[in-house]
Amino acid sequence: MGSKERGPLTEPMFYVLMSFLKRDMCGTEITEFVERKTRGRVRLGPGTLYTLLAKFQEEKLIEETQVEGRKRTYRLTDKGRAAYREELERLRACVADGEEEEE
Amino acid sequence: MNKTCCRVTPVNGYDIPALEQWLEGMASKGLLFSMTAGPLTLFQKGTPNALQFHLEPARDKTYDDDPELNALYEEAGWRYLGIFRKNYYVFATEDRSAQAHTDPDTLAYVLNRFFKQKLLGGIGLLLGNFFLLAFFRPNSLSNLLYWLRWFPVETLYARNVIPFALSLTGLALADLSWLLGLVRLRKHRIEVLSGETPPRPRRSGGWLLAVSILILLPVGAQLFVYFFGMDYDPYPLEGSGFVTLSEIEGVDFPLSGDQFYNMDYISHGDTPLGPERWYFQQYGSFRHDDNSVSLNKVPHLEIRITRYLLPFIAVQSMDELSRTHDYDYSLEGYGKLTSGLSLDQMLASRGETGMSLILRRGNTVLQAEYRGDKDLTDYLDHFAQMMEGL
Repeated sequence: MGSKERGPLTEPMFYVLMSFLKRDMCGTEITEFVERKTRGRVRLGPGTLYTLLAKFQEEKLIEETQVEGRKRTYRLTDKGRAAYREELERLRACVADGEEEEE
Repeated sequence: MNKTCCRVTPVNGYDIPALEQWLEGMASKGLLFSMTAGPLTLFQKGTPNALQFHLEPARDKTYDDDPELNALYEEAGWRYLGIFRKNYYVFATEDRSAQAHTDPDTLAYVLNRFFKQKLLGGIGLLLGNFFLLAFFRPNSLSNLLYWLRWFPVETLYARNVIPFALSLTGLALADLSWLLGLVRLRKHRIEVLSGETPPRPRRSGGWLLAVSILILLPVGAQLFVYFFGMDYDPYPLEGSGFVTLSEIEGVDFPLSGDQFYNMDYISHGDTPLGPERWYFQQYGSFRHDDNSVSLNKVPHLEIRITRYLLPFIAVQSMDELSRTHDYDYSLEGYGKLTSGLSLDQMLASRGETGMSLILRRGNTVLQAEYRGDKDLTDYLDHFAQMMEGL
C-alpha cells in the first residue's frame, strides 16, 4: 500500500494516515475525522477501517499506544509519516501536471 | 423462549456472497444465525427480519471474538452474531444501505489474504488424502476387478476395499468442494476489483462437503478403532465353548508346545467397516526344526468364524469358501449336509488326510479345517452350540 514499490495509496488509506498527523487516534475518531475532512465524500466502512489499521500496524506505519476495553488508540510512526509525505508529494505532482496542461 | 434449529449449509464455505445471501434468506424466515458445527449451521428461531449480512474473513482460523472489530462494526450500526466455521465473523444490520467495506482495494486485499490461507490449507487436505488412501490401500490392486467378480465378499472385507472406496469417494468430494470454493473466492475478488456488483446468485455446493463428511465418518471411526487397539479383543479358550483338537483326538493326544500352534485363547476382532471375526488353531506336536515337516500332514484343527452384517452376505461367503481349496487339494468338493440342528447351511468336504466344514447360522459363517482321521460331522452339535453362544 503506497510507496514507489507498493503503488499509490487509495483515498481511504491516505485519509486514515492523515488522521494521525496531529494526535493519537482510535477507530471512532478516525471515522469522524475522515467524514468531516472530506465532507462525507470518503466513507470508512468498519471492515475497511479494521483492515487498514491491522495492515498499517503490520507494516509499522502506525503503532498501538493504548488499550481501554474494546477501544484501541494508535499513533503514526516515522515510517508512517514518511509514507504519508511521499503520497502527498505524488498527489501534488499529479495536481501540478494537471494544472500545467490546462494553461 | 427462543428455540434453536439447524440446517445443513447448502452453500460452499468459501462462497461469501452466496453465504451472505443464504443467511439473509434464513433471517427473513425468522431464523437468525447462531453458530456452526461442521457442515451444519445453527439458528435461533424468532421473528422474520429483513437483514443485511456481512461475513468478515478472520485473519487466522479462530474461536475467539475480536473486541476491536466488534466495536468498530457496532459503532457503524452492525450487530455481531458469531463466528462461522472459524473462518468469518458474522455481522448483520437492518440498514440495507450500510456498507461494511467502502474501499474495493482493501476488500480485495482481505479476500486475497483469505484465499492464500485456504490455498495453504489445501496442503493439509493433500496430506489427509495421502495418509487415508495409503493407510487403506488394498494389498494388491492388480486383478482387483477379477477378485471382485468371483469373490466379492472376500475381496471387499479382507482386502480393505470398503474403507478404501469410502475414503476415495469422501476425499474426492471434499477436494472438489475445496477447489470450487477457491474458484468462487477468486471470482469474487475479481468482481470486487472491477467494481462489478453481479446479482447475488442462488448457488449450492455446500452439500459436497456435507456428503463427504458423512462418507468419511465411518472411515474415521475405523481409524480410531485401529489406533486405539480396539479392533482386537482376544479371550481365553477355557470357558469359550470352542471345539478343540483334544476333544476330537482325546485328552491324551500330544499337542504342540508352541503357543502359536496351540492357542490357549480365541483371537477375536471387530471394526466398524469389517465383519466380526474369531480364529483358533490347535496343532499336534511336531518337530519345529525339521524343515521336511509339512504342516498339512500334522494333525490339527483350525477354526475361522466371521459374522457379517446381513445373512445374504454370509450366504455369498459360503459360496466363495466352497470354491476355494487354499492349500490342500486332496480334499474333494463340498457336499451339503442335512440334520435337525439350528444351522441354516452345512457343507462338508472330505479327503484322505482330513476334512473341512463350512457352517452358517444366520449371518455367521464358520469354517473348520481338520487334519486327522476322525469325522468332524460327529461334532456338528458342538459346532452349532458354539455358534449359538457367540
